[in-house]
Amino acid sequence: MSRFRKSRWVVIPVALILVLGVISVGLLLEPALQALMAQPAPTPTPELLNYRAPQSVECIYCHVSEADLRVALGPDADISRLLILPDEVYSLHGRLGCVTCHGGNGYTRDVSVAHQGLVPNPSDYREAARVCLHCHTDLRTDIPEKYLHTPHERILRGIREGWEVCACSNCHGPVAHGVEPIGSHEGLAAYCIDCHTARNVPPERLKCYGCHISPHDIELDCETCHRSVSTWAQVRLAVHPMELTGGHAGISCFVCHEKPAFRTISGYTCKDCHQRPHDFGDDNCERCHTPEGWSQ
Amino acid sequence: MQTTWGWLPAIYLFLGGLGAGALMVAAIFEFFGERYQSDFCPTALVGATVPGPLVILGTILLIFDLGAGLREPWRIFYMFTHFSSVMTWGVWLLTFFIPVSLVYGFLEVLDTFPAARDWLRGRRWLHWTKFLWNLPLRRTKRVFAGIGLGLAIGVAIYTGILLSAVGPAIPFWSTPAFPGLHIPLMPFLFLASAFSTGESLTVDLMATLFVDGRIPRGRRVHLIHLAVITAEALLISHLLIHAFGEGGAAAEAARQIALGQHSLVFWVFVILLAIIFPFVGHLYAAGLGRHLKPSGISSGISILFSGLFLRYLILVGGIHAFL
Repeated sequence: MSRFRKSRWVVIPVALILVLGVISVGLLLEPALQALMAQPAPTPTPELLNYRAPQSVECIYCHVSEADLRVALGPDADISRLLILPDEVYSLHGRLGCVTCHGGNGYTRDVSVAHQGLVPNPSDYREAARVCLHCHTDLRTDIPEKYLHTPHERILRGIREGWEVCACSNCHGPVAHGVEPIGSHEGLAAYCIDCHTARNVPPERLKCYGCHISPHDIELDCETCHRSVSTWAQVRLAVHPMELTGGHAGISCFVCHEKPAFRTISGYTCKDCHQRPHDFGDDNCERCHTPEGWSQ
Repeated sequence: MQTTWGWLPAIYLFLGGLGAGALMVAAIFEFFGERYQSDFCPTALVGATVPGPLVILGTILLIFDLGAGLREPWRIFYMFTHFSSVMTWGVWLLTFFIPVSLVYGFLEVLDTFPAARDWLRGRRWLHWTKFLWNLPLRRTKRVFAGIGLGLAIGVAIYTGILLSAVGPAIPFWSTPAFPGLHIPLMPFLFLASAFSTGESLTVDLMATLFVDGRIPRGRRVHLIHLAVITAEALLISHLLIHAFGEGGAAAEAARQIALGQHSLVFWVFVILLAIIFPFVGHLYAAGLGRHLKPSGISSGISILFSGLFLRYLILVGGIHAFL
């Protein structure tokens, strides 16, 4: 060990000590520098995002108590919409606290003060930009706008430009009050269809066409061919003017048809798709060939 | 103003960035041959050996900062499996970076101190490692330098990605690097700062203190550091200008940092020490071809301070989005 050049070893501890020294001096200097600065008097700042349930604690006192609500609103008032069950507070959105979405003042039991600036329906288009979209910034926009009746892009544009558009809860349902927002395709489909049914919309708007706009030029129910609600690509051949067997059986629709229209082939004869590679014979290929393959 | 993150996260973000930056410099010296201009290269020795301990210390502080993780450490293991979380990416980066940097540091020690290698080789209790001693030392070291360089870049930018991922709750942290694109600026700023602090420790300080600035030779490394300091200045300017233009919480955060409560710390410890002072020092070094003791030590110390305070200011300056 004595042969080691000890002075060179010093480099490593010196570097470490320097770094620790910088941190220690920094920790001492920062409060000193801050003390030199005139500490500004607190200026009125906009309300901070209140993510915590404790800030809504006074709301709970009335809204979980049927008796208190009756006292406040009268014995015949419909309090079902205002009554919050204790368990509801612990749902995903419930834990944000009432004032996060509904505004108002959660620090007082004075009804008039507590309800100043109250937002009864935070998912309404006039409020959604301020409330829902504050967190939900990555709305799904992968389905082109022309294939949906109510695409997110149009709603966002409407909110931005102040048109009257539908509220978030029109499709995704209510949140926080004992229910979870609807996000799955099945849930959205059921919710939309229920609402369409209740409003007596035309029957064709009770299925996929209630939300989707078909890109194809054929009038079939979507589910006739499309087998998945998560991808359009998963299809089965359900109808076709001619039987597709042999080499035709496994090919994709858009090998022969132009995408997305289907009526781009009119004759369904061999020459509509195939070119004759030889001079002899005529266009009646079936005299010699079968759909199993040209060599057959 | 956010009050959750203060000095403790600032220190471990600084240690992570400094460790990553130091290893980047050592690896670059290794690949460009600067390491072998002399048998003793304090830049490479410190750049290879110090990152491991610094990042380990930072990780320990991070664990202290994790309230639940400290009380119930087994919960930390869940952080390895949540792949959509930036935290998980960071945990994996650190998991690989720490052992790779320790091995790289060990190999650099063996290369710098042949007597240590001979001594270890002669130990009977290490006889079972005989096959390792037959590996070509410098080639093996170069492999670890390459892997370490990639991981160091990841560690340096990850802290910036972590902060920007907190947006939109704190809009100042998610300021975009390019207008209209969702690419945050923080990772670029943290990468530049990491490289700058790493270079200040290994080149400005260690090479000046231990070999009188004779390493690196020529002006290339000093010019690179000048470019990094300039890039850092541009990124800080862009961060503040964009935040002022964005309005709301981001503008309030920028106002607090540049003109308000934190302005003295910002102008003294970030602008003066990270930009103006080292810029002049490196301009001098680039002209001369080497650092003299006053320019090397003063630039090195000031950049280390500024790296720490830059992170602290960005953390404490963050203001929650207004609702």
